[in-house]
Parts: sequence; C-alpha cells; structure tokens
Amino acid sequence: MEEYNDVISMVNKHSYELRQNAQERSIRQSRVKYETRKKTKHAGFKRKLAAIVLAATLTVGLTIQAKNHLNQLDTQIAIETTLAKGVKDATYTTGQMDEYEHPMWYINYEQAARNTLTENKDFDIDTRIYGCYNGLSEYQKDESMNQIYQKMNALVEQTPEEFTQEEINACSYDSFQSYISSKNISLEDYEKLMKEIIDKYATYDRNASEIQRLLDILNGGSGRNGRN
Amino acid sequence: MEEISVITLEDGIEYVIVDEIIINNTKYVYLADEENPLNFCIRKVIIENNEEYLINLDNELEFEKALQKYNEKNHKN
Repeated sequence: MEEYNDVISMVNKHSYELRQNAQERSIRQSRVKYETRKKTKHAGFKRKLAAIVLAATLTVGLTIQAKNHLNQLDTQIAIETTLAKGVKDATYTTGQMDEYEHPMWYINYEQAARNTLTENKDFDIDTRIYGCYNGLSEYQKDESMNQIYQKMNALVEQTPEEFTQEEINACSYDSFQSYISSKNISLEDYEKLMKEIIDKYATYDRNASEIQRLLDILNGGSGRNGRN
Repeated sequence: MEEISVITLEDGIEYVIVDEIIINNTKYVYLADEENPLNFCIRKVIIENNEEYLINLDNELEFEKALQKYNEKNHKN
C-alpha cells in the first residue's frame, strides 16, 4: 500500500497533505465548548470561504476515492489469493520441461476439491468454486476445473452429512460446464459477475445484502432454491 | 456587510463556522481558518448539561463520510 500512497502523493502531493492535515485537525483533538462569537465581514465572505473549502475538499475527496479504490483492490487481490490457496496447495511441481523453461506440475484433483469444499467457509460456496477456477493456471484450465468439480460432486454425494445444503446443491452437477450452464450465462459473464461479488466482499463492511443480491442473479437461472 | 460566526479552537486559531450538517442525528461542524481557508477541519457536537461541545471525530472513516456529505451538499449549490 505504501507505494500506492507514494504514487498518489507524487501525483497530487498538495492534495494528499491537505487531507492529512484536515484529518489530523479533525480526529486527534481535545474538546472545546461550542461558543461562537459574531464578526462582521464584507458581503459574500462566508460564501467565498465555503467555495474555497469545497474546492479543497473535492480535491481531497478524489484523493480519498483513489486511496479507497486502491485499498479495495488490495483486498480483492488478497481474497482471490486466499480462495486460490486450496488449488495451489494441491498443485505439485514434478520437474522441469527441457524444451521449454516451464516447470512440470500436476494437480491432485481430489485434494483441490476437498480444500475448496472445506476451507474458507466464511465465503459462500459459489465464490469458493470461482476462487478455485480463478486460481488455476490458464493451461488446460477448463479441463482441470472439470476434474476438480467432478471430485467435489463425488464428495458431496459420498458424505452429504459433512456439507451444507448450499454446498451440496452447488456441487450437484456432473461437470463444471453443467454448473455454468445451469446459471444460463456465458463463461465470460460468469467471470464478470463473480469478480463483482469478490469486489463486494472486499468492501470495508463486506456488503452482505449486495453479495446476496448478486448471488441471487447467479443462481436465479438455476432456480437453486427450488431445486433438489 | 454580513455577520459570520467564529470560534477559537485549542490551537489558538480563530475558525469560521462554514457549515453545519446533521448526519445520522449527529451535528457536524465544518470550520475553516479565517486567514487560511485551506486549514479546515470537521468536528461534531455533543451536548452535556445543556451545553454544546465540539469533539473530535472517531476515525478516518468518519472524517471521510463527513467530508463526502459536505461535498454532496455544497457541490449542488
């Protein structure tokens, strides 16, 4: 985050300092009795003063917005990393390809499936599934996700008592493609919607009602609540 | 000519009361240094024993929300 602040500071150093000063004067101060005195000034004095403050606060507001956006972006990246951990932990390097300089690796699909189902329970199952998908390498991504999803499907069928109804419902399709098809959206729209959900998870108050609204859009197509 | 309200804060500087806005039942006061309006701050009002006091804001988030309300109100005017 420090480097972002540096960038903001460089781009708009004055605004940044203005904000810091105003914030400092507003937060860490002792209380005073609210006793005002009257003074006479030339006509329009207060309006001009208010305009100057507005101009300054608008600039400050933009800096705050930029800082908040960067903070949120950091949180989004942290969430994506957290959600991808299950599949990363199940990915093993087995050596180095000779002709390319890429490592050879394989995914333990069952482990990735179990991690996705059992870890990060403070996120809903659809977001965890997306987190797994998003965490996969681009190489044979869809095929790998299919394998993982099928293992998830097997796990919820074998030991349903270990999982919530939502988890069972979300993993009840025979392939990842079927799971996506049930949403009646394209893969591209699915990714866009899930990014939006992660964005809501990343807001400072973890906007629960907004997350639910977006999940309802995701699952509206499948009619999940009425299914199974 | 016009009449303005001023108050001297703990730093000894005289500030003009630029605006007062009620947010969630709390009155926020926007103050600007008469000599240098870029020195501004926001405080909120509490009442104790029928007397009003200006106290500091709790944190950065409260400061940002109060600032946003000021912009929303005055940007329209």
